[in-house]
Amino acid sequence: MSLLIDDDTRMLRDSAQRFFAGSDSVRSLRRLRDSRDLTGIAHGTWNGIVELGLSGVLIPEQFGGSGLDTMASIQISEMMGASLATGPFLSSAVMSSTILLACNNDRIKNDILPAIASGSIVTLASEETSRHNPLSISATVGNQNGRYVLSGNKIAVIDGNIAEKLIVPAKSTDNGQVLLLLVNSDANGIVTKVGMGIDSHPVVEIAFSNVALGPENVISDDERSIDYLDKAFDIGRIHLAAEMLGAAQEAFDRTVDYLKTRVQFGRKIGEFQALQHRAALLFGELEIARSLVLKSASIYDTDQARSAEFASLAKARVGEIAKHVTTEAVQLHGGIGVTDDFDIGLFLKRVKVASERLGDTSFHAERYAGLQGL
Amino acid sequence: MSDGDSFRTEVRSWLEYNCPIEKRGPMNETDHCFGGRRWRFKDDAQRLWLERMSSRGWTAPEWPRQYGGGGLSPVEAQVLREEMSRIQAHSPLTSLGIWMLGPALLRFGTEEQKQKYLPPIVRGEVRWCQGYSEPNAGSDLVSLQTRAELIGEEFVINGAKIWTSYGHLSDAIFCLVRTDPSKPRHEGISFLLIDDMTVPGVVASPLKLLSGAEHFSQVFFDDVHVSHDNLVGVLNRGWDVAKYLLLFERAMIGGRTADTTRLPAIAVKHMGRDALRAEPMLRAKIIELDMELAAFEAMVERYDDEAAAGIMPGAKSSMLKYWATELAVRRHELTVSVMGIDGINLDGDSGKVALNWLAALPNRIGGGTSEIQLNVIAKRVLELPGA
Repeated sequence: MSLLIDDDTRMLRDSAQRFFAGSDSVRSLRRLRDSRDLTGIAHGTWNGIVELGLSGVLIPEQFGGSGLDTMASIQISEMMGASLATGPFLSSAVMSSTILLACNNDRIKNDILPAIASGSIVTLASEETSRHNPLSISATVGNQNGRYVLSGNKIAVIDGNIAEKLIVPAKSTDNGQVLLLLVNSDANGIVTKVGMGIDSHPVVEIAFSNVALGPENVISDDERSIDYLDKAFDIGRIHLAAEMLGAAQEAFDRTVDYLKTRVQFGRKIGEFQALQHRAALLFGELEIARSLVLKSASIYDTDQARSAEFASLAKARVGEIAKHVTTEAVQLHGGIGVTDDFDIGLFLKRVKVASERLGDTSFHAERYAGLQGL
Repeated sequence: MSDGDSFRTEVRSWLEYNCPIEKRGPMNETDHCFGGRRWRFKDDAQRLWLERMSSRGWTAPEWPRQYGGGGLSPVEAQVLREEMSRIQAHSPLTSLGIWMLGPALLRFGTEEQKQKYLPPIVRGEVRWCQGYSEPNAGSDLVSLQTRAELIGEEFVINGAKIWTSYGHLSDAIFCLVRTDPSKPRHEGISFLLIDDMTVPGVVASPLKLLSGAEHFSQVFFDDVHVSHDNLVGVLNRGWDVAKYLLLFERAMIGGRTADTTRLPAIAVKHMGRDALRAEPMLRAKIIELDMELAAFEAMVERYDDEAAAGIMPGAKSSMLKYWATELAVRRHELTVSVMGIDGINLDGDSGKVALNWLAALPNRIGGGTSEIQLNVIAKRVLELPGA
């Protein structure tokens, strides 16, 4: 097990970098934001992602994907973070694919995985509380003569405004067991409310009221549902860490360039040791963050027993580092850094939102502590 | 891949057969074998382990065979490290000759110097120390004043070095000396070997630190004569050698992990879970620092993987040094807190933790202070402007 990426992954990284860097995503994000086009923002670069085959990166070849590992797929998230690109890569290609691959349901796998690989958008509607608390599920599903009825409210549904299908955890009214349900987003009884987040991405709430479902909608109905969810959360956390790394690294690189060009007191501000030391510390933190993203992906691919520990470690530490780096990036730019016209603040916002999703630093420090026996 | 596997199998069985049982398990301070003419082995196992490892050249795994080294590729050396750590085999030799002087000679030395000095280093027969810092040349190393005057075929050395690790216990010293005071600061320095510290005019005396330990010494030179053949590299170009070696020194200090017991485990053992839960602020500090340490370890692992693939960290080794030593101070300081009053009682069962903390402080200073490391990153890696 090595923390170096192999040649195939390097090629994937390079092509993702070229694609996202060339996608003009920042200008497009600004345009869509100013016209409040939340559908456009959620779709983002998705068509290009699908054309490049990246929507099937984690899906095995037998289901129409390319069957690569986490070490490969995090490269895409990192590049999306670096270019501020949007699109349902995390929700559909990473988290939903992971749940469906893990589950023991061949019919759904055969139906849905090839569809995701070719661009169908599926997302996980799991969160119910404003602070991440994945096992606190109040949504209910009743079962009457083989027909199911789903009710409950889900919030923070990533790309929930454009998904065709939703994966919804709900508790059985019979026995309290968590079921995973695959629900069409246009089913009767579904009401979607869309707001705009600080990063201009949609913040989506979905209310389910007596949504009628059949046995064909059940992905999982036994105790393993929780394990499937955990797997999806952990791989999602690792990809969020990669996305934060990409955004923070780009903000840092731009900041170092600025220190080399901005002149005050008759000299480049990068000559001041006070600023040099701050930049050097941020560089070190980013090297640590990069190592941790790679480590958590590598562990996820090879050592299931420790993947939770490293996913939490990466989400927490990379989150803290990325917040520190992007906050410093704004500060080191001075006045121009706090204007909306200048891009540096967009990285700060992107990182803050990613750090709040799927558990913030405190959540993951607590989870990590539990795993250490504290 | 299959070649690597068969090498691994061979290493594993050789270690299994040859590593004495006493030389396995957690390594504490008294387990280090420094070697040298005056060395007294702790026990027969220590002597045997050094002999066996050095007979294969595995005290210096990547050095060429003709100089006594193991001749291993970076990948094979990594396999050896992994297999040693798998059985917690002790390092057979703790040697500045291997970490510092050897790389300098391999890169800058003459054929005669390599043949003369490298094999005894591999065998642990000569203990080398490093004479860099001086009373008035610490962070600003390049201002060093120890003078070496070339008179005929000999250098005559006068001056003083300080912060020389184990200088008073060493057989030989490699030094930075000023050979041309008329030149600009970087350009009048040479790299010189004083390969016998018992010659007239050399005096080494130990320095006592906050922890009470005597790891460092002052070394004085009063008309010390050495042959012109002891010059390494080009006259007045010693700074090139020094810069090259500083990378190794920083990587070495950065890679040091004396005690690998994790903080949460220490806290649970010493306080118990319930007492820890009753102090949520302390528990939070422990968790946060342990996460920082685990994250840092991922970086060490990545750089190790890069080194095994032939990618050298270069100036990035400054970062390893910076974070390793800064985190170590915080870790040991917090460990003292976990132990409470027991942690500051030198005569109690836990008194060692306070010494570990005090002993961690000099590592932020030696080999270039933390602040100097940040300068190096800013200038060499980020290429920020200015002097």
